[in-house]
Amino acid sequence: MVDKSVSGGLPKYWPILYVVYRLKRVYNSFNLQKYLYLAKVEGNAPIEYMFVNDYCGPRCASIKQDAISLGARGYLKVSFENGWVFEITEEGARVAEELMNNLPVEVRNAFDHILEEYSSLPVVKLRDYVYNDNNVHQRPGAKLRTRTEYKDEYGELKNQIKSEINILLHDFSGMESNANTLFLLGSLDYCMLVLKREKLVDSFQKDNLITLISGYVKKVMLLRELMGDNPELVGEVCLNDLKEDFELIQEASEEYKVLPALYEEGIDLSVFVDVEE
Amino acid sequence: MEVVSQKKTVIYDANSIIYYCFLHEEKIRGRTVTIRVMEFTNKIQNLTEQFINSGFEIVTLSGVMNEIYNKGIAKIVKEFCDDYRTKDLIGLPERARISDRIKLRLARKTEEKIKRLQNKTWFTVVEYEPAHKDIERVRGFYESLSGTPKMVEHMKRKRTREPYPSDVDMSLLVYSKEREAPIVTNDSDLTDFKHELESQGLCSGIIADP
Repeated sequence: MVDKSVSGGLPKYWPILYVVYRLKRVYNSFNLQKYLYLAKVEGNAPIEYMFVNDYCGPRCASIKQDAISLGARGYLKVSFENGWVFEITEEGARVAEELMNNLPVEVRNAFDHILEEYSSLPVVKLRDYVYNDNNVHQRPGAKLRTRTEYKDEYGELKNQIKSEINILLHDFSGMESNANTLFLLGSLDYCMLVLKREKLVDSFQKDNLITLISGYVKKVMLLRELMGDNPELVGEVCLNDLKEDFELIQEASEEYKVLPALYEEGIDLSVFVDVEE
Repeated sequence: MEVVSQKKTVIYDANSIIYYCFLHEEKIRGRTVTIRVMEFTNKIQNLTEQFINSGFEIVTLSGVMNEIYNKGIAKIVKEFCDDYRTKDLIGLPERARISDRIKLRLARKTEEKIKRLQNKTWFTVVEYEPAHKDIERVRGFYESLSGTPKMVEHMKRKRTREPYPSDVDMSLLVYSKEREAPIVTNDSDLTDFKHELESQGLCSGIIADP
């Protein structure tokens, strides 16, 4: 039974189901959000989700939440590997086909074109595309930060992030060792090395990478703040979203040839050794 | 190893599973080194091979798996990286500290191996909730040893205030008795009291490995 509670006869979640139905499997919630964003902006698809500018790209948190809810309804199979994974179920496929009958052909064609064009593109490239100043299609809603805004402030910004990372490393290293503290320490330590090694001349890439790391560090700082005087709580919280963010940082770092992804097979471990340590 | 020859199922605790999977090849400055916990990985690898070749099923509890993912891997990676021999093994200078990012990489690799282990036909994870009275019986056994020289010494070495092991370890003991299968473990909470636990029928057997 298709929920047609929204005006126009289509439920708000229709594009989520459509994307997963078409691609069968969507890895990483950032991908899902970008497809919807591009379909809305470039394909003029009637998508109700509103996007805000985030360090990971145009973002709409309710897309991920709705996708997870679709999992609970049996339309999607939702799991978490290194990022969220959404797969279509038999029931989901049936509902998607029913919804498609209500979609104008030109919307479907435009949406399919977006998926075809961007499905094999790495998330970080997709993000680059969306935030590229030369791309005329990506400015709905709030104004995106301009690339040159930080130009003269990279050094200062990097020092500030490094100092924030150092505080967090100090805090978390004093806590009881568990999977979450190990992840937080390791990921922050990786970000620190990326900042040290980063000598990008392309300001677009530089800005992307630094913004990704800065956003990640701020999220971890917020987490630390929320724990207050109960740091032992860190072992109890679910860090899936942070893990997904960290995947993106590694992807960008590798894409821009700053540092290989931490989990990559076959690399020489010495690239992760910092002689200053 | 008498117990082994009589049983077709063995139960692994958290450390046995982690040590089994803590075996990685890494390139360091161009040479390939094998990362493993020296005293434990080879022994548990050999023992597991013997079990598999003899047609044993290796079983563990879902509670054990949770413990592995939540704390177990992190603890063993930390112990491994804090060991002075590790730096030598992976060719790092003595003054160098093994960074948190490398620890995370090792933890991730171990976690992935453990996930792959769960797909093996000879390895099974069982959902098991022991009866309260059975857990109380095990707890009672450990409490009855409070104040004995053996328990005092054990608690001192383990740096613990409680005489009894974790809930997961107590569940393993109860499950071992119920399933009539021995537990493979190097946990001193179990191995230090192997004879008492076996003679009082609180478990089917304990294979102290290594």
